[in-house]
Amino acid sequence: MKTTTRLSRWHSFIYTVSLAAVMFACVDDDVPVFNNGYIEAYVPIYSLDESTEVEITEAQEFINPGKIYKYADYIFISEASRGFHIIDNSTPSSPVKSGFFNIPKNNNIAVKDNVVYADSGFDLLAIKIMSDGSLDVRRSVGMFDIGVTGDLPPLPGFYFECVDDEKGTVIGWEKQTILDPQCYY
Amino acid sequence: MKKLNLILTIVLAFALWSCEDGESAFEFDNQGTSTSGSIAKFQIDSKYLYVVEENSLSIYDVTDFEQLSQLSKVYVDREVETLFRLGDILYLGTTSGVLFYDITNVNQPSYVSSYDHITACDPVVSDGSYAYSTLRSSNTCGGGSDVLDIINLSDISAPSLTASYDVASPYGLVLFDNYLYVGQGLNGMKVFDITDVTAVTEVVSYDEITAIDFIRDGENLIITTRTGLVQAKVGTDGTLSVLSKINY
Repeated sequence: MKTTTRLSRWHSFIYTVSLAAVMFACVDDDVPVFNNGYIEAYVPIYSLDESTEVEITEAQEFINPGKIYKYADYIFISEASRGFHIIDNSTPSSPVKSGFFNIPKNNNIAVKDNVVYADSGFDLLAIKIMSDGSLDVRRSVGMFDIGVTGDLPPLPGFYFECVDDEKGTVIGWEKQTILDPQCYY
Repeated sequence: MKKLNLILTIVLAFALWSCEDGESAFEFDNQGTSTSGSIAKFQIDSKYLYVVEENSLSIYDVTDFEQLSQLSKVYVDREVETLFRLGDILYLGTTSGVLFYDITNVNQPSYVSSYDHITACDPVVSDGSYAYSTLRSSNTCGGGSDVLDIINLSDISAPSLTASYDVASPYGLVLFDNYLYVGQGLNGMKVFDITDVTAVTEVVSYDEITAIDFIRDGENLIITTRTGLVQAKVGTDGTLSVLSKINY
């Protein structure tokens, strides 16, 4: 009888500690609620062929627009893992999407004196835009530890389908309504 | 002979025209540096490129693009998300607080101090006297608060919290004279008057501008939202007049 009581108290103690631990973990960690059923989430797009082309092309559709930059009369909007959109903003009341800067595995840029500094996976590129429109690309190999953003969607605050490395390299993200995404950023 | 001249002229004109056409798509004939929104991980000035990765801060010499060199790299025992620079101070937004680094010596950035908190953090901006940091913990099971923290930097070795204001789901932010603009994603955006940081007042909110981040462009704001790129003129009272929108 005495043993039972002790055990029961012990159980109660464990229960209380566990509960406190769970609550503490819940408050302390920034873990959102999962298993929400079908909700909007980011889904990774895996590369089928590894394009290494750094080039300026005609304007492209926005797929996963992210960060913004301003350079002279231009606005750049990053396109997750692909490069950035170029917007001619000479007239802020009527900006024109004028081209796309294709840089594989790129998520972050900075520009100085017609040179675009861009991450491309583990590498840092210095891309000089020459007066004839051609590009002089200098690649510093292996400057980054894990790629600057790793395998995360373009913007925080969204659920996403966890990345499966066996499917290839993530080159972009698209929003879809999917069942119970198990990752959040 | 006249015919030949004509043909030559046409060929020449065509050559010039195609040349012009090639350049009109892109004419980066500009000097200067880019500016970025508050959720950036790269910052640049006339000499240096600053980069944060998840666990590090590095500085590159960009004086000559053909001879890019890494001057320093320091490891940061935090999860770094954003980078802001003002003068010789770098402000690192991390998931557990704002970190301040002195970069007077670019070969050896030195950790100055941190302003710590327990939940997820978003970007930080500063006017030198105060740092403004948004803290978003929406969707967490603990239901923690979403706030804007104003941090006093009069002694940067010992930053202290001046005031904290509730703001639903805050993302990027930008200072514009006496106003602070805070993006709130699905919740729109808010404009605060920060003339007196201990008594910040909300000037106006825009539910329809689902702002994520901002760049100041002269008297205008460039705003990325969940649905597109918005540009707006800022009035003397801090209110916005939308100039244009490009939908995603």
